[in-house]
Amino acid sequence: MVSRKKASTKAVKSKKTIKQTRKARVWRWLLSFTLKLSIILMLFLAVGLFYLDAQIRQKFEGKRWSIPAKVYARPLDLYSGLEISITDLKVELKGLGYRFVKKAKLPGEAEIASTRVKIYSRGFEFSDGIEVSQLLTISFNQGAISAISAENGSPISITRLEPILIGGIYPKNNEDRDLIRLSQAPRGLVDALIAIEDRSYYQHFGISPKGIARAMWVNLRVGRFVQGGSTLTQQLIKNFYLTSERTLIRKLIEMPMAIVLDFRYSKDEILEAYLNEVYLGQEGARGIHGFGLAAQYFFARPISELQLHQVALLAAMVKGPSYYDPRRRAERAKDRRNLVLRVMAENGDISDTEYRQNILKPLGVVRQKSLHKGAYPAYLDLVRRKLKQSYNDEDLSSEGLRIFTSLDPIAQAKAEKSLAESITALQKKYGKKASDLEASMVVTDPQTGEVLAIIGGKSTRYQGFNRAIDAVRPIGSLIKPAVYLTGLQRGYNLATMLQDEAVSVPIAGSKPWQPKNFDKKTHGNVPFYLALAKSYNLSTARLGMELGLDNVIKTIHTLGITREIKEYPSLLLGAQGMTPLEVATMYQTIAANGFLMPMRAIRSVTDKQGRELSRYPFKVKQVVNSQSIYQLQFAMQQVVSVGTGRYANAKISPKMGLAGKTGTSNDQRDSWFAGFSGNKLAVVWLGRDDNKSLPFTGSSGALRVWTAYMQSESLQPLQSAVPEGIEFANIDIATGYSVDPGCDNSQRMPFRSGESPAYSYDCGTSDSAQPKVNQSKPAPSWLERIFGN
Amino acid sequence: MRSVFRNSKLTAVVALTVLSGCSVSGLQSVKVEDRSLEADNKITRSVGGQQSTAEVTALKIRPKFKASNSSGANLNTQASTQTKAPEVTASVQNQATVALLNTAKYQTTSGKLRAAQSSLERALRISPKDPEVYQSLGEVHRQLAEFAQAEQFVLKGIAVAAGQSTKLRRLWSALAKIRSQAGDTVGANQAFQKSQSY
Repeated sequence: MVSRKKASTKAVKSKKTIKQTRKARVWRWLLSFTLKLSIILMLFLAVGLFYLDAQIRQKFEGKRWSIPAKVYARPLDLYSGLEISITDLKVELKGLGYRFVKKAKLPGEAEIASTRVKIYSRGFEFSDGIEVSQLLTISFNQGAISAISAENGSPISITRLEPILIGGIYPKNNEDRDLIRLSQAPRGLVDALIAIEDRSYYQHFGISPKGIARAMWVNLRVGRFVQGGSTLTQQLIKNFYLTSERTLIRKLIEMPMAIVLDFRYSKDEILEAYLNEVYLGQEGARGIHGFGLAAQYFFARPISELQLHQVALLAAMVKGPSYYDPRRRAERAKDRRNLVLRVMAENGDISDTEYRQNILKPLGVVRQKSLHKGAYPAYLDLVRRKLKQSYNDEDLSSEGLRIFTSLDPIAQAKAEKSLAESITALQKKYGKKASDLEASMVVTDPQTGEVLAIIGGKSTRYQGFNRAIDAVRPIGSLIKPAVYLTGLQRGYNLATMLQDEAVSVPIAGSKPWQPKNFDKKTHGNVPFYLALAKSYNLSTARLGMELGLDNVIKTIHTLGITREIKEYPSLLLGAQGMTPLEVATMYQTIAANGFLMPMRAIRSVTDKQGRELSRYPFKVKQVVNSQSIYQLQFAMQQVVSVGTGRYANAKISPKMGLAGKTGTSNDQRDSWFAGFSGNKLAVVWLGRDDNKSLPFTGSSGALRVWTAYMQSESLQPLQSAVPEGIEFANIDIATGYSVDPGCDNSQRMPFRSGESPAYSYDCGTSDSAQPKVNQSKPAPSWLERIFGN
Repeated sequence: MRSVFRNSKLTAVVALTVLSGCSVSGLQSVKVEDRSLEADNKITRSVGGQQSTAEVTALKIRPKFKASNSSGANLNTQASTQTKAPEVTASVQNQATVALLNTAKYQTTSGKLRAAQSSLERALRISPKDPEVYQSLGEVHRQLAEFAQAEQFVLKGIAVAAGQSTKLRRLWSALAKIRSQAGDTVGANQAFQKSQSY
C-alpha cells in the first residue's frame, strides 16, 4: 500500500515533475524566445536608429537646400555730377525697400527733403570691393547730384547702393529661399515662433508629451482635430525628411527622428534650420520658403529690419500660409497676428505697452505688384539665355550663384510708363483699329552696349512670348542707314544728288520689283542726306542697286547682324525680318561711332561667397571708319530735325541732336522707331501678333512711344567729336553745290577732307559750277551685275 | 552609395515596424525624400577660370586710307596725313572718374588687373567720352596680353579724343607700345610717327 502509495506518490510526483519540467521547458523556451526576440528587436532598433541618425546627419550636415541663383539689377552709382532727379532716386530706394522717415538712423532708412536726401545705406559685398553701410548726405542742384558727404562731413567722390534683387532661377521643385543665420533674426521672431508654435521648445527632448497631452485634451473637448501638438523639431523633420503624405508610418517615424535630431544637435542649430525651411507662401509656381525670403516677399526688406508686428505676422502664418495669407485674408491674418502678440505678452516676451501699440498697427504688407522680383520677365529671359551658354540648369538653380546684370530699373520703369501711356493715346485716337496692339522695346546705353531695359509685350509682367528677342518682323526703312552707310563708304557723300524716280527691277521668274514712295510721288533730284531723312523709297532702291545688294548685306553684317540675309532687292526697303534686339545691335554700332560692342546684359557671375566665376567684359572693335559714321550720324539727325522723325524734334530740344530712323513695313503691319541720344538708345516696335495692318506708320506710332520715353530720361546730347579727315561745307539743297553760308535753302554738313562739292558763287542759281552728281556710272551696270549680262 | 542607402532604407523600415509593434502592411508607402542627391555636383565653371572671353585675333593688314575711296570698309586706324580735326578743349574730368582711375592705377600696380578692369568699366559708364579711361583700359588689356582688345580700346580713345592733341599724342604712343609688343612692328612704327605729328 505504502509502496503503492509511494508509487502513486511517486507517480504523482513524477507526473508533477513532468508537468513542472514541461512548464519549465515552456518557460525556458519562452525566455529564450523573448531574449532572441529582444535581441532581434534591439538589433532592429539599433539599425533603425543608426539609419535615422545617418539620414539626419547627412541632411543636416550636408548641403541642406538648393539655393536658386539670385539675379540683381545694376547697382546705382552715386557721384557728384550724376543726372538723376530725387523722384528717380526714390524709385530706386523704394525698389530696395527703404523706409522713408523723418530722421534716418538705421540701415534701410532714408529722409527726403527738397534739395537733399539722406540715405542710411545697407552696404553690399561686390566682387570688386565692399561698400560699407553708412549714412550718406546727397545734395541736389538742377536735376543732378552736386555733392555727397559721409556722416563726418568728409566728401565722397563715388559710392554705390546695393543692387535691387530682380529675380531668381528656381529648381524644379520651385522652392525659393534666402538663407539667414539665427543671429540675423530680429528680436522677437524666435520669441514669437516659440510662443505660438512650441512653448517648451528649449525644454523638451524633441517631442513634448505635455504638448501632445494638451493637444489631445483640446481636441477631445472640441470634439474635432484642432491641435497637433507637434514640436518645432517635429515640424522640421516633417518638412525636411518626409513627404507631405499623411501616413501612419510617417507619424511613427517622425517622433524617433525628432528625438535623434534633438539629441544630436543644439536647439539653436535646429531652430536655424527651421527658420530657413519653413514654408510661408506661394507666388504662382514659386514656393516661398524661410523667413529670410518671406521678409522680402511680404515686406520688401531684409529680415533684420523687420519690426515686432511684422515678425509676429510671419510667425502667425506658419500654421497655414494660405489660410492666413495677409494679402488675401487680411482680417484673419490680423487676428492671428494679434493672438501671437497676446501670447508673447502673456509669456513676458514683450511688455503690455508693446502689445497694445502693436495690435493697432496695420499689417504693413507691400503690394505684390510693387515687388521687383518677377517684375522683369523679358529681361530675365535674356539673362537666362545667356547664362545657359556657360552654366547648366542644375548649378543655376541650386548653387546660390549671384548674377549681376545691367538692368536699370529706373529706365525700365520709364520705358514701361511711356509705352503704356502712348498705347492708350493711340487707342483713343484710332479706336477699334488699334485694338489688340502688341509692343516691344529695347533700351541700351550706346556708349557701353549695355542693355538697360527690355519690354517683351504690352503686359510687361507677363512671362510669355518675348517679342523683343523672338519676334522676327520686317524692319521697313530701319534698314536704310545700312544702305546709306554703304554709299558713304563707297564714294558717295551727303550732298551727292540721287534720283528719286520710278524704278523697276526685273526678277527672274516673277513680276519685276517696282517700289513706290509712301506718298506715291517722285521727288526728282534729292541730296543723299535728305533722301534718308525723308525716307524716300525710289532713291534708296536706286542707290542700293547701284551699290550692289552684296555690299549692302556686307554692311549689315559689319554692323553686328549675324542672321543670314538673302539677296532680294526688296531687302533695300526692309523686307528683311529682324528682332528688336537685333535692330538695337545694328543701331548701337552706329551710335557708338562705328565701334561694335556686343550687347551686354550680364556683367558678372559670382558664387555664393562672392568669388567671381565669370565675367562678361566690355569689348570693342572698330568696324566702320569714323568719317563715314560721322556723316551717317549727321543724316540720321536730319531725320529728326527735318525728316520723318520731326515729331520728336517738336517735343525734345533740338540741342540734343537726336538721331534715328522710322520704319513701316508693307501694308503697315509693323510700326518701328530706332534712335539715340548721347547716352540712351531705344528701339520701339508696335504691331499685332496676327500680323494685321495698323492704322498708323512708324512716325505716327512707334515714334510717339520713343519720344515719350526719351522725354522722360535725362538725356545727354549726341555730339560726337569731329574726327580727323572731316571738313564742313555749306550746301545748296536743290543743286548740291557748295555755297556761301548766307544762301537760302542751304545746309552746313560734313564731308571727307577734299571731297566737298564744287563751289557756286551765286547760291547755286547758275551753272557756274558742276555739282558732283554721282551718276557717272551707267545705270544698267547694276542690272548687268545682278542678272548677268 | 545610393544602393547601400536603398537597402538600409528597407532594413530601417522593417526595424521600425517591429519596434512599434505595428502590423501595418504596405511598408512601401514610406517615402523618405532624399534632397541631398545633388550635393556632390560641382559647378561646371572652375573658380579659377576667370579668363576673359575676349578673343585675341590677329590684326588684319589694313590698306592705307584713300581720299577718293571706292573700295569700301577702310578704317582710320593707321597713320595718315589727313586734315587735323579742329582743336577743342577737353571738358573737366568728372571727380568720380578721377577717383576710379586712381583706384584702377593702384590696382594695376598691385597686379590686380581684373579688379582694375572692373573699376575702369565703372569709370567708362560714368565718362564714356573721357579718352583717359580708354587708354587705361587699353593698358590693362596690354598687361593681360590681350593685345587685340588693348588696341581697340586705344582706338576708341583716339576717336573720342579727336581735337585734343596732347591726349592724341599719348594715345598714339600707347598704341605703338601695344603694337610692338604684339609683334606688329610696321603698325607700331606708323603709330609712333602719328604720335609725333601732334
